[in-house]
Amino acid sequence: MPLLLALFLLVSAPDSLGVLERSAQRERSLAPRPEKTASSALLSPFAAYSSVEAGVDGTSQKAPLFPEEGDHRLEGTLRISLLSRKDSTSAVGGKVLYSNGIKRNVLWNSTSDYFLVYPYAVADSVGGDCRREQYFFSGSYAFRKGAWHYGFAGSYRALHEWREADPRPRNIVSDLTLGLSTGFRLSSGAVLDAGVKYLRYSQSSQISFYNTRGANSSVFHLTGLGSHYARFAGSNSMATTTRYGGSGIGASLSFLGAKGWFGFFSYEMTDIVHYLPSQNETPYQEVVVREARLSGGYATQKWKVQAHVNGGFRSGLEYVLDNGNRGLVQTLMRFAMFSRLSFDAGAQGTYIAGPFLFTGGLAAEGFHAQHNYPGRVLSSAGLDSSLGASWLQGFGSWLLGVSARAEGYVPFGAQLIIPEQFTMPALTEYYTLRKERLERFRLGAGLSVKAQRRLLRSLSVYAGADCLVTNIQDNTYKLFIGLNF
Amino acid sequence: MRKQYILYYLVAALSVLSCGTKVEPELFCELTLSLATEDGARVASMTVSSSLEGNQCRNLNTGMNYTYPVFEDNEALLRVQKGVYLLSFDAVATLEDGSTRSVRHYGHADPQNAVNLLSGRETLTLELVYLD
Repeated sequence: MPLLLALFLLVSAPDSLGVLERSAQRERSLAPRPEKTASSALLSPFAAYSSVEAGVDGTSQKAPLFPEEGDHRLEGTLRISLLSRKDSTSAVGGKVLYSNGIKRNVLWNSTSDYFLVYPYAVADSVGGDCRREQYFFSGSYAFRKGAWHYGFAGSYRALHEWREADPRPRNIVSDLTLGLSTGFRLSSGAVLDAGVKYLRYSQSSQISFYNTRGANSSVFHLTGLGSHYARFAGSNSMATTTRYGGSGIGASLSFLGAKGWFGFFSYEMTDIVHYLPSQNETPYQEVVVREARLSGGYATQKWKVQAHVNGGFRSGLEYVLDNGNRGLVQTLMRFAMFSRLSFDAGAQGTYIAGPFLFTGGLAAEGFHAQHNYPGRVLSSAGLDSSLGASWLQGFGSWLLGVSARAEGYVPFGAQLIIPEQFTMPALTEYYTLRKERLERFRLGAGLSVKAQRRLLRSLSVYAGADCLVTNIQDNTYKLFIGLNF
Repeated sequence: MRKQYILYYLVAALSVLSCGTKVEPELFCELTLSLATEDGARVASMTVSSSLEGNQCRNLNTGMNYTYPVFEDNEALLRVQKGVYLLSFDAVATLEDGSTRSVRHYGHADPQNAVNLLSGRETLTLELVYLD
């Protein structure tokens, strides 16, 4: 409690707006928010605002699209978020996150950060529940000198995931990002910002078998769409201890117009290599991920329209290793064997009428993944839509909010090509189920409520809940309580 | 002046985007398999059964096993993914003089003797021993 009080005194701004007014500002502001730049705290349209929040959230899926992340998830989180603006020329931002939880029935994946290292995950044929614990710290400082501004940012994430039944993976992730940005204000009042960032990533993974009678499952080094690196399949140390290491870069451009126009562009490239520590740290797989995002629109105090186009390209490289005859395994060459192209394009509109806010959006999305030899393909496309309405009203010391939303996904279709004679029957069945799930029509309805009570002019307590249910029994829920200051 | 700074920003941003992976070589190797018997006799024809356990033309890393083509006039052509291979088989060869002999190739049967097929075209001589 003393720490929280000290934090409160440090970051609470001598602001003309009380805490409820600042909360309402955040929930009702349509001003664009550049987020992928180190100057985001300074360029944020919001007054100083900080919170400490504890919550529980979870998912429950009857037929998950990605069994690699389990079909049930339950996680407790503690989240501290800071935005301090002592004056208009500088801002400090920060976040601390601690989460602890469990993913149930994780299948075909013994690796952490699956969506980052895909398709080069290490998998076992049994699956099971996976516990996880994660820490995240980030901080940024930005200041303005005349027409120019400068920003510095850094973040660090540590993740520990493990399983308590054979086969037992124990994965430790370390993820560091550093960013710089600069920009200036034009005579018209518009703001330009350009940022760069660099990240370093590592993950160590060790799968153990405690059963003294030996392993009754095998470990596979997947290479995409049902293929795997057969040489290292098994349960010995050559197969069960691996390491990921890599780095990435990113760049962003932001434009905040004085009269409502805005635009953002970002590009990120991450290159992660998969190593075998038991084979003289030789690399044997590599994934390169490139993502570009472009969005823009026009915002007033009452309405906003925005369009976006996102594209991603993931390429997977498989290394050819020699026979290790001389006691050292060496790489001979590498092939580009896997590729995945994804896109997402859409538009969204928002309108505010008194205490009500209405949103609607439509987006087309799809992907095409293939493994070159023997030929394997998985592709899908569909239309995403959303409608939402929310109500936010202050009553003396209280601020109450209720929102409802509907989401829908209409599939255009999916394609799967798997050479069954070169694929394990279990993986053929798994991908057949994945294709069927990609072809499902999805409709969801969500409801969230939040109540906030002012304790002091710059301190309030809040609590809320959110849930989403769908026709395919893919449901999420969240409960939270916190302090704002 | 401001337009110059905008241009500098764009150049700086684009220069960051220029990193990428190396261009990869062609995936396949056109492999010519040539037979060499103990006594130098030429093999008129030979079929290697893929159902016999131990007969393998297997990529050491990916585990993909290829079916041997029919050997005619001491040779056969096979298209394989470039890589490191294990080759071994037992078969019945029809020699040039019309006789049939049981033969075995075991020169690349285990990882220690695996052969690297890394270029677009390779020729590999398979030493045959008579089993009868």
